[in-house]
Amino acid sequence: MKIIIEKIEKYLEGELQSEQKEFEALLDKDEDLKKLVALNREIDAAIAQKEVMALRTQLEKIADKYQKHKPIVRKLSTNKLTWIATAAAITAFAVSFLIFQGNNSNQQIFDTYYSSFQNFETVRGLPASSSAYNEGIASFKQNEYNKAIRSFENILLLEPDNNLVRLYSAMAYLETDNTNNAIEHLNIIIESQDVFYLEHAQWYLGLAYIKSGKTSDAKRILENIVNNDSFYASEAKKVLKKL
Amino acid sequence: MKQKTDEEILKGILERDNAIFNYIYENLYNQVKYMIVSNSGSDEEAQDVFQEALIVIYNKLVNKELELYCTFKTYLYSVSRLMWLKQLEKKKYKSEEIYDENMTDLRVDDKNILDQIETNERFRLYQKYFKQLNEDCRKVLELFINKVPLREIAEIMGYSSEKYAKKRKYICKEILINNIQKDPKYKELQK
Repeated sequence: MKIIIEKIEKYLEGELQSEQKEFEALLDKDEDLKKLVALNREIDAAIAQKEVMALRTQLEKIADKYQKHKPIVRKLSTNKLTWIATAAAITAFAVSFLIFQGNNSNQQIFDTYYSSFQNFETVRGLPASSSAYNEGIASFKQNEYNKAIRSFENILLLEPDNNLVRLYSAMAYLETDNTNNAIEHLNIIIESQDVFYLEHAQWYLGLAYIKSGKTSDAKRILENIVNNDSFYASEAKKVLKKL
Repeated sequence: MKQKTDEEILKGILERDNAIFNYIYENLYNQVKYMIVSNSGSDEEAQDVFQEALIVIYNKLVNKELELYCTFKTYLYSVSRLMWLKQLEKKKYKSEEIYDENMTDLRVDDKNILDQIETNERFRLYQKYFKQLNEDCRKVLELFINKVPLREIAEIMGYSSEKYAKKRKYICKEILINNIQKDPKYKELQK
């Protein structure tokens, strides 16, 4: 199998040289080989759809939120709903009062654009500590962020280069208002230039700076995101307009 | 919530705007869910179909292949319905058995969209296994796909030589292909 894949790859890259004609003749006759070449081509096209993969994760998250919230509302009695509506109105008023009183609009921007990163499918790619990872993720999903932080930090002690865990850890710190810790983790990911988590880390760092009132730092990061046309460029543009 | 125009919705999908997707789920999901749940589907299946219908539409927008001859709501409903029909066919249901009160209002180019639904299904399977590869493999394959020069790939990945970078790519590709071929869904999608 390995030799076949290597040959197919070289064929697709036009690097078979003297063997090219021989391979093409084989391709004409061998249906299985033809299928394997087609599969190889399709896989390349599928891998190139980075945006689609990100969009699927984004939609899963929205759907989760939507599914999670709906049944709860349905189960409540009208009486309870009235109470909740009243309480929500009071809270909304109090929050908006606080926001417009002080220079708290940064928090408002953060709340509008922040959503924690979820990409649970990469679990299998992780080494030995994946049971600790699973525990951390389970706590994270149940909004038990302090518990999640303990699991993630334990992993990071053994695997300081595990940027997926570091990113989750940063998210958990943001959720618990430990913004400085989140900033520290996100900066480490950015410094490592890990292509898989770099863009996420930059975006969340921008939001973390907003949350902690470091507006000029936030602007610098967000402008960088826009200039590099990264995954979060359109969101970053919108935030920049509000800063 | 302010009513969005179809133009705003399409632009939002193309920009992967979270607010627009929230709007779509809030306003258009229930109708699709009802159609699926009243035709032997579960909540999870409804959610899955709705999500993949949005991905198909996103891909059509990216490739500039989407022309709406109906409202976006009808279009999304039609794509979701076709997807669900396909799944029911696999479960050996006949299309006449599908109960659907909105059926008369479908305006989708069936052949073209069916091809795209099938491609999307295959690509989704490949992407699932790509995401499950270890980080090193994912990264190296992505760098090759992005046509990063071989010398740079070796440098970024910390490999000793360009030759090893290539070798690593072949190994990763082989793992990926093996995993895909082992999935029973792969065979099903070949039919």
